[in-house]
Amino acid sequence: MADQANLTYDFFYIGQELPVYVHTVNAEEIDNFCKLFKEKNPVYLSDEAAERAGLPGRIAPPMMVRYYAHFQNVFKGFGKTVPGHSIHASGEYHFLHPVRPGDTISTTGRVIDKYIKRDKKFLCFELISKNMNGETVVINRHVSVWPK
Amino acid sequence: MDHEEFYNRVKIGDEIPPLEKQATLEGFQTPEIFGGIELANGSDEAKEKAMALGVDAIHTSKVFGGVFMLQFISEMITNWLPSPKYWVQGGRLFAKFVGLVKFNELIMCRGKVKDKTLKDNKNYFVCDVWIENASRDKVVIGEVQIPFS
Repeated sequence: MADQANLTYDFFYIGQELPVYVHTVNAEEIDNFCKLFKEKNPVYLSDEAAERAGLPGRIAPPMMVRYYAHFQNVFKGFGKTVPGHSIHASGEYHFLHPVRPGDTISTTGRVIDKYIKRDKKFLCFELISKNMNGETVVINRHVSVWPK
Repeated sequence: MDHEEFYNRVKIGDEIPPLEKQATLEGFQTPEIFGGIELANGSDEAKEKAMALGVDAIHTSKVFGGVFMLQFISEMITNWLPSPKYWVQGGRLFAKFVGLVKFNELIMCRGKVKDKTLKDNKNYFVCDVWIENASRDKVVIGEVQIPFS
């Protein structure tokens, strides 16, 4: 809705906490992600292959963090939307613990920086995703050029 | 190959086997991946799918998304390592987007080992990684750190 599209640059401030986003990853989502990206590594598709590789069973590809903890999904908790297409400027990911089918991942975050450079508005977010046991699975720092 | 043997055989300056991928439209028309936010060309089918998921903001993109390229770098790294366990349990990726990729371009992920180091009793590979578009211009530049012990 147009009147909800008010997550403008000015809405955010450094230190601002972002809403919590919770998602339970299932095997079908992992299958779909691998199919979409043509990712054929068997550790994502088979328990046996994953165990042979020293893992507890099949896992989600680490970049699936952009599925279960996409910052746009986190923003849904504000009940507002981004006023246009943001551009991914840079990203940093620290993968700490594998995500397995059935894991419930809670993602929290905050605004860690905002600045204007060459007339472009930059917003920097830190998102921390934890599984249901409280283990941090990934820390993501995301920098976007904001549309408005 | 034994994992310790792999670590010892890898030398600074070694290239990571490159990975060629195509920047397809398909993912951008899968709202489940992006929460329906970025849908290339905003096809009617994709918009309907997004709305069925409760998405209320649909924007369109004319260029290939960053998440895809980061996934390709991750795939290149796990193809290279003797086990993905090293990457998924402590790996770090930093990437900066410096150019654009058009849909359906063939892109090439590349990497080179720039250091092998010991930190906190763990061996690490530190590698430069980058992606080239069809014109062989760099569109993503970055670094990965992989604990290997």
